[in-house]
Amino acid sequence: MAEAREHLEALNRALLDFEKNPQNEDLLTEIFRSAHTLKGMSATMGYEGMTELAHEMENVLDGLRAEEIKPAPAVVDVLFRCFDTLAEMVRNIDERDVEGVDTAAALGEIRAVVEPAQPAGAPLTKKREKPAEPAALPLRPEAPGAPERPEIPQPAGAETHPGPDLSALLAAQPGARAYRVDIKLDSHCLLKSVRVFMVFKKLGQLGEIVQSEPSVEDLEDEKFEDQFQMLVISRKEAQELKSALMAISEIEAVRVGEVSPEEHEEAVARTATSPREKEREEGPAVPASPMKTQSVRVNIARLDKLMGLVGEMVINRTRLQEISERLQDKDLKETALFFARLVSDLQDEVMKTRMVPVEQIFNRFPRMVRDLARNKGKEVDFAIEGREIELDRTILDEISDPLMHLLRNAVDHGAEDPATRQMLGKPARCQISLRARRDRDQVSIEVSDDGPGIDIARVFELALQTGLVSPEEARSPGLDALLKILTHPGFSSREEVSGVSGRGVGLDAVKSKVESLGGSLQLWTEESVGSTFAMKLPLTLAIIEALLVASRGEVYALPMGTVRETVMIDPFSVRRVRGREVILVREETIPLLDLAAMFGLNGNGTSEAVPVVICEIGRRSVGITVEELLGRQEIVITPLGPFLKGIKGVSGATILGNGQVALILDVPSFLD
Amino acid sequence: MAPTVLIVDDALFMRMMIKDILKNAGIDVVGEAENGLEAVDKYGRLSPDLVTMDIVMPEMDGIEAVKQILGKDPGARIIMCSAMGQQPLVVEALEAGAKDFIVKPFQPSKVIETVRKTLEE
Repeated sequence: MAEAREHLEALNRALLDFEKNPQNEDLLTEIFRSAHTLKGMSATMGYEGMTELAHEMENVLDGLRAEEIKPAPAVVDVLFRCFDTLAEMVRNIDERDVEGVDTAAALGEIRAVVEPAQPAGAPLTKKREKPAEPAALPLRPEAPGAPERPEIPQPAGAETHPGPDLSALLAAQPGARAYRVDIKLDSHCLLKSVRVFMVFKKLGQLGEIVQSEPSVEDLEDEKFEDQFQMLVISRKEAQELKSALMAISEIEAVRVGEVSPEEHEEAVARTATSPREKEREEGPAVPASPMKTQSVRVNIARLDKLMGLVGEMVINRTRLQEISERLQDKDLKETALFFARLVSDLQDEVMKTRMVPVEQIFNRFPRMVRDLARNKGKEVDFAIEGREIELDRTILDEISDPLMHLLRNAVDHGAEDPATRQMLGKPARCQISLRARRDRDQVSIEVSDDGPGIDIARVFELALQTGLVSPEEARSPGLDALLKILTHPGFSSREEVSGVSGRGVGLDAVKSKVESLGGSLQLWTEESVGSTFAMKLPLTLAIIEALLVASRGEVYALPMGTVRETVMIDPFSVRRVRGREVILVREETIPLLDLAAMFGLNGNGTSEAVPVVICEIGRRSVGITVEELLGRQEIVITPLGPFLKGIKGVSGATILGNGQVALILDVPSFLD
Repeated sequence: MAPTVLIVDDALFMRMMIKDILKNAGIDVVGEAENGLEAVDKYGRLSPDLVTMDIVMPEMDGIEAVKQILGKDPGARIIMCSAMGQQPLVVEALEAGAKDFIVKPFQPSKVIETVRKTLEE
């Protein structure tokens, strides 16, 4: 089923591109291929409706390819409709194992497209004439549900040559040459694998290592005497590579010789005849070739479990370090340190396996934006950037709806109709973009439009009428305050009714979703220039870095992402402004909260300086008085049970190295 | 002017040994530190041409110290002092930006060669 969904996704993408670029034959071929594969899969599994529909799509596509049918918008619409029907069927099969859709309507429409182009009475003959079309057999009999893809051509020679396809690699990098690099290490060299690492690092800066002999694994395990060989692609001269390598210590000799792709092929063919050599070559050589990476499908529940186990290890790592610190045993310390690094690496790797590129959800949006814009009679160009940026699977699933809200708002309110735009001297087509960016340990996802911008004055006026802001606040309307109004649960519907051109639908839901994921929502808008909503999201949910603090004997964790700084504050410097305690840090007035008081515990009334953690989200800050700062630590987030879930100020809990439970503070809630 | 070196190692014996080797080669040892924290602090004050850095130390380990020193001075030249079996740690230090490494027990000629090579770069 996952396979079918992938093909649907590919089909959808290709259709959208095709609509923009109907002369592109490659796209047609791709659409055809996806439809064909879907047909084959459904036929094998006995879903006749799907088979028939996919078959008719093929006919239309065939007609388009043969230029018997013109790629008119109506035809593309019909293809989209067929695609929707197919998608619905796949969904139904997935959920209830039945197709559950009447295909008559879609079939009627698509046949109407085909028929005028073909002699009456023989609508299907064209297809049948094709020699030996393997309509129903792209599946291997022994592996149902895991279809091969016979239509996708394997990279040339992938089967016969174990080495990389050098000519393809060279073609991909104009000006680059291939070199065979031989290295001989000093015979007294210790830690050979680290020298090899230095060689790889240096060559990686100068070019690309496509192969090594012995394999990288053997080199890492020091399973070699003192020589090794690499195949390198680089734009540099041989002499330059050589002198760079000679600069590394303990390298006795370096030889760099240029090789042509033909020579390489020959060498590969030779080694292929020797089984032992062949086995080596097939080892996990440096992954640099453009070939498709091999993958295994893993159940997400299993990954969650794995993450949980790594979480436990992280907790125990901390515990182990505490013990080794106490016992002051050098061996134990060394082992603990090494173990800690292993756990970190393991954690990184597991985290990476949970990461998926945002395109997995982004790919649905072009279609949605297109349909929405068409409905509203608007002309919109939709651009996506940063499809390859990766996010934790769980987070990605959660932000799909909020993104849909933001995009819908962008089309609804962020795009003027073509006439208005022309009057304003803007290009007729509105630009809406969806951008993903990696920003240190956060990912920022932005939805921008070049529409009218939000009418700030009007929003504040409304907010003033409904008592959301005080007259004083309304006098200095800023973006932060604007966002606060727009994301107020009560504001949106009211605004809709009064028909103000602004935002609101579901923005409160967007904000609370983003914040529940440990992220924040930001807004930028300018009159007649456009608006941008940005979601800042953490890379992952399960393990975060936190500042541990203590208050009245309890330990609390503050997510590092929200901590700006810690300061010591003399209790006498705390002032009161409008009934709230505030402190002054570098001329900035920051509201103060007492952690103990927040949870109904009595403060200790000390007159000595106390530590205050200053937290910041967006541009709003709050100071939290604690009794003691305990230090930074990675913590594993455990969700709270149903009884504790609603408690304000707490977003989860974690178990510390010593078994004690610490509450994780929900900083965004302190800012309201 | 003779090049200057800061030696970082928690063992006095090791510090003395490296110091002797370097002195005989005409290299000026301008400071010593017993742990990473001290190393970061002394690097800031002495700005030596080169640092020899042990990996496993109390307070702050050598790898963290490498990161912090390079954070302040990206041009810092640091050589790691490693024992056998510490490959992953050395690799981590190199990835963090250390220039080279020497392996205990030290061979004087190797130490000098590595230090010279790193200083020339």
